[in-house]
Amino acid sequence: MLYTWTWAIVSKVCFDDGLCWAVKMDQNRPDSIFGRAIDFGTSAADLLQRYCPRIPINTARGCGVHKLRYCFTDWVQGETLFDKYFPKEYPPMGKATITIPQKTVSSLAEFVYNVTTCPIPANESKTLLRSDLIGG
Amino acid sequence: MRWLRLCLPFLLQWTAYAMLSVDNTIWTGTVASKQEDTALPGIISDLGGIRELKAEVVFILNKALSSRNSTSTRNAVHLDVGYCFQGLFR
Repeated sequence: MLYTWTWAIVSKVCFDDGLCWAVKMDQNRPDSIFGRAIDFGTSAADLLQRYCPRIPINTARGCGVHKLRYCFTDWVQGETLFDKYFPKEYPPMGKATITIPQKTVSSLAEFVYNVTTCPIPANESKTLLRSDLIGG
Repeated sequence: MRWLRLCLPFLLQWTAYAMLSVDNTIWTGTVASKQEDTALPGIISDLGGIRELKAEVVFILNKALSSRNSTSTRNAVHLDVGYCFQGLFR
């Protein structure tokens, strides 16, 4: 299964042992905000896996570059909050009224609490931006 | 209408029928809406065409298989062009 969204193509690949991965493919744009967002997301997932493995995130399995840039993660079956609850006819940003179940609110609160209290060493919890490196 | 030039051949090729490529992968597709605002036009433009996109997807899927030392998977890829939400952030 191959999905395309605003920033990437996502494919589901299943192995002979039944495990499935998500394969996320996009243009290789290392200096763009999109490329950096992938770097930051991958780094954050790596740190959470290392220091707080009990927090449920989709496990990162590595990234690479060929003609496209690609990353592998475990496949998580289900719908995103956005897909499930956001109106299909998109209203202007900031004008949408979204109702989500109370249980989802509690789950999100628990997740955010666990992420923000995860004991990641200070020297690993910040990533220098390119603008920091060049004094911009 | 740049997106139309880029996407129409692709959509005609992918949504009208399933086809068997040289690597024995069966490609099918459906379109939900607003494919012009997905990553697809930019990726096709970067790679040079549909044939190149297919080759790249097959290459990357084979990378996934080799990284797990796995050899068998379904040789079918279905393209589902999803809803756009980029417009929210314009």
